[in-house]
Amino acid sequence: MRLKGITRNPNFYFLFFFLFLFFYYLLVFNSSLYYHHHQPIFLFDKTFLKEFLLYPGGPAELITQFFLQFFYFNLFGAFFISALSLSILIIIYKFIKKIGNFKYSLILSFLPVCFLLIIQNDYDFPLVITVKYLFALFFFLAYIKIPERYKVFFIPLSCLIYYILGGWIYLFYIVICTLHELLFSESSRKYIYAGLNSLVYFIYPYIAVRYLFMISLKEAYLYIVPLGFYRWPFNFKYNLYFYLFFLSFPELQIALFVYPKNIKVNVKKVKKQKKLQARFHNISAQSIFIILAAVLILTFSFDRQEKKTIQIDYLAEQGRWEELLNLTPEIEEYDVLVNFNVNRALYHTGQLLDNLFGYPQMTGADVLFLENFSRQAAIPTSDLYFDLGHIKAAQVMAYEGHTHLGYNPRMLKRIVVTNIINEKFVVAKKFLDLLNKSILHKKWVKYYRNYLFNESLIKSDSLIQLKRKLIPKVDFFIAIGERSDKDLIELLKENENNKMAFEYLMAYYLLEFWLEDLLEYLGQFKELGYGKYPRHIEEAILVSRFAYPSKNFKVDYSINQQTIERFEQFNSILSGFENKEKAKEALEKGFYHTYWYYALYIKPEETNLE
Amino acid sequence: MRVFYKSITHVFFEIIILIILCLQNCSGLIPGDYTTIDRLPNIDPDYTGITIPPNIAPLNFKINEEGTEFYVDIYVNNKDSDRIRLNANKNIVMIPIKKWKDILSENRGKELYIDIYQKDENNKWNKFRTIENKIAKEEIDSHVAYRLINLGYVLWREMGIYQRNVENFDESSIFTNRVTQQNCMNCHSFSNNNPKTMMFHMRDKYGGTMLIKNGGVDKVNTATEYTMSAGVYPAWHPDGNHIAFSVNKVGQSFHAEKDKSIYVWDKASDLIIYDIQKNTVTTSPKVSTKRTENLPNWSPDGKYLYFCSGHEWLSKDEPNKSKYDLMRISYDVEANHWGNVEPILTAKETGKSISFPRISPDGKHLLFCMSDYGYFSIHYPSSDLYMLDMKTKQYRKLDINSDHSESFHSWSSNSRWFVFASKRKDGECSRLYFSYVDTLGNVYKPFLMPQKDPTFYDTYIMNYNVPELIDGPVTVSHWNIMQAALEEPIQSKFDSTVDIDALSAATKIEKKESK
Repeated sequence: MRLKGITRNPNFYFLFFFLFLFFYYLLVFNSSLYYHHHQPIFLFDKTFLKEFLLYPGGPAELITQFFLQFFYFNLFGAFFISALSLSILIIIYKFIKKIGNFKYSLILSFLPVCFLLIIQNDYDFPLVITVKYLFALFFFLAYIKIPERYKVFFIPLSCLIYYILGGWIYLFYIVICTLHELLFSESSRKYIYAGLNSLVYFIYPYIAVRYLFMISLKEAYLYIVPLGFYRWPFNFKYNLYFYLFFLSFPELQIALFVYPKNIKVNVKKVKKQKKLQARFHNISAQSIFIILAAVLILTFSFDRQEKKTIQIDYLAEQGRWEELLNLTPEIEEYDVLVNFNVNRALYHTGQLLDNLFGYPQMTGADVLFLENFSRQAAIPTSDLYFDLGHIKAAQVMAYEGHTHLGYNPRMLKRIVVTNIINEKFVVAKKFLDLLNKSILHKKWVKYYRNYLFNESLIKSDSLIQLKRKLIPKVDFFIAIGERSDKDLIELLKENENNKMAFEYLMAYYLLEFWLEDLLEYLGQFKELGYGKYPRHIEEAILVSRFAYPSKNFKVDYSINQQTIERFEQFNSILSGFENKEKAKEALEKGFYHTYWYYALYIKPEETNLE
Repeated sequence: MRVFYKSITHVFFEIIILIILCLQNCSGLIPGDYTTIDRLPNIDPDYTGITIPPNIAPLNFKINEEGTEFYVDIYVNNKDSDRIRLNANKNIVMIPIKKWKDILSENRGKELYIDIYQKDENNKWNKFRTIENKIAKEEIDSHVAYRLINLGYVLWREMGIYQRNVENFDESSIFTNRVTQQNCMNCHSFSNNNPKTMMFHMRDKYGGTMLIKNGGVDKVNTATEYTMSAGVYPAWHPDGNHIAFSVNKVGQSFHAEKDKSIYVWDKASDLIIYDIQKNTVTTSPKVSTKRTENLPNWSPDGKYLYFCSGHEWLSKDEPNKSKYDLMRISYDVEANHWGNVEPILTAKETGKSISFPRISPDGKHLLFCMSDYGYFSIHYPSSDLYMLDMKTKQYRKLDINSDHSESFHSWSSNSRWFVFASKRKDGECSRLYFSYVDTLGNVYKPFLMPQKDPTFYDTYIMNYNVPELIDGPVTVSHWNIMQAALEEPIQSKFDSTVDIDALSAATKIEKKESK
């Protein structure tokens, strides 16, 4: 009997639904990756808080920001997203129940949620939309529950709702309140309330833009998320599912109004026992249906490639290079940032000049440094410069990244560390103090605060010591929008043992096909302690001998016989075809990962890739 | 009933304790028994030995001394009415604004003393040496307008032009780029410190120069086919109807060395004058040469245009060779007549590069920056402030400089104060400092623009950029600015009487009649 009672209770199925979502977000989606992608931070700082209070929609974003920072912990993130989705489901279910006893109330409640699950299944999705939607439903529930005599006060007070949610969601709230009045209210004043609701939507945003906030008219009426979401890396767009998500609830209201007789259970005519039985079967069947539907929706809408791309960046940030390289073959589509991080991983695992062409270097030498001042490049370029010991450049890019992305903990930390390396302790302290206003980063701050003005402690930090050794002491201008080898050459001038600068320079020459420049550095391999030439260098030497037969260049190591044989084989296949295009397929099998194949088929000059 | 009385008594005693605490906080008794510490207390910001305007907001500060309790006594003389006593358990000193303003306004020209007492861990009071500041007779302009920008050099996101009432702590935005899709906005400027006559540029999307005059707002495009760019660095003519601009082809390079940041250079630059009423742009072969003419500023009588002039641009790779001279040229706005260029102070004489000449409204002093090279002094730690006596033509380095960049100075309308941006506080973020200048041209120790929360600057990571003192608030509504900002700009015309362009190298204009 007790089990029966439980299974008749919809909450039992809600719990199931929640658990299903929770494990999905925990194990498949991995909300830590969402954190990594968005880098949210919440500071207990007046300036930070004030920024969110200066525009309608800001308060809801501030609240969301507080929770988002804990997405650093996958468990919390999974719990939060699941709870949000479930709350929306429950509120809609309660609403339907309030309207009447409908046969498929649970399935009907699931309709907006299924669109939510689709749009939310994207790492770029601003989760603040879900939070605002939930708030709007809460306010709507309050609206429909409030005694009629108070409505005349409640409606004008929706200016607060406008301020909390912003234009777009306020519009959604107004639409569902107005529809509710028109379709379900039995009040004689329902047209007045509906009109009043519509009126305040036109009035409040206008007042906001005219007298209160520094926002545009469009933003006043239709603001949904900060402008940053419309740009890289999120590129948020209003797609079909987004509109369906917002339209589904008003549509549901209309459906409930239009077809009440068809779908409503005639409760009075059904005996009590039968009714309960029907309800039990009904709810359990519906629950099973929505869970199955959720499985299908989440499975088909999830972009595994996007997840892996973010994972690559995540692993790069963590310096987990082997894992990064293991994950790379699973990424089907070419991605510049993946290529960039693969190259870093190849260096850090000692494979750059042996396996550089194991990954299709489709954008040539540009991918080594990215386009320095594009908005996309600031963070990864800062990472690379930091690797290279080009600390000032890493810092410049960190400031650019911070400027573009706002309070970004990854870049704030880079600013701290580069300033400590550069002995700019006052600046480092400023950013440490700022980070210390976040709950999440206190431990990190505590660790680095010890370094301030404490050179003896800094001396025990091998990373900082290493970077300090590599810092250019003689000034030069960072090559931005120019030949990136200039920086590498300068770094090598400063410290000829800067192995990364050396390998990146060689990679740069390989990718640019500047073999004559490369040949000038052949002597360095011995000086830097390479026991032999890396594979791609051997391949380049063989090409050079072929391309510049008259040029004499000294090699310190003999070329591996296997490489020579493979080169002969490559040439033999190539000469067996009329032109190189016809030979492509034959060469792809055995030589795809060679420098020769890159030079003939992958180099951007060959592919005309933009 | 007993419980009720007990509660009432409890509440009553709590109220009494609160009142006592409050009274003690506002005007507690000076610790009678104390040991003197013969040094000034370490307070942040450094508000010691400064001269302050009688209309400045309270100089709230933080006491950077160990202590379990602090007692602060601010006074002018022994009159209780001219005294503020504060008892603080924490080291933050927040001065009540009304009392502060009363004291300052009634004691112009007098010394303002601050005694700080510290209670140590043995519960004994110590008193630091008295801080002696001076209240000037002359007020500073009530507002300062500035741009707040992030620390990035190339990218940007949110920025805006703000105004701060320096008589209290009110800050408001004049206009921000939130309404214009986060475009870039810069170079705000006022005519004669008048908040009703203002301009600023917007770049990229919605680009144009916004002109605000007597409540009206217009957007103009000062770029013509005979100018290398739209107007950049502005200077309002005192008549409020003309603005001199430089037109520049700007580039920037980043230093790899840790103590330097960015080098801003111009491939070319000339000067133009924009006539607001006629909507025309004019120039002269004398200020559109192969040299790089830049950073104009009018003499207060409007007869001379001062500017910086560097040699022809050759390469960015040798910044040390990029040095600017200070020149002037006479210009008659009525007749549109240019005089001849006269050197005022050359890089050869100083060994340094001159930038941002700003003449005091009384015409007596010219304040300018000198740095090792270039002109974009806010980014150069070597940039210091110098003053030129307009009568004697003697110049001197001011004692108020620091090891960091000093730049973007602006005079108060009464010539007794100037504001400037300095990175001295942390070497990274520019902050606003005010200095007093007496009638003899002596410049006094600057003080940081006060904030209600004295720890505000500790974690504030925006740059204060281009401060301009104005004698009241900008009252034009952001709605009016927005309406104009979102419109297409009015295209200016190039002066048809000029047969030389401002594309640098003074190219002769051909086929003028067809234009």
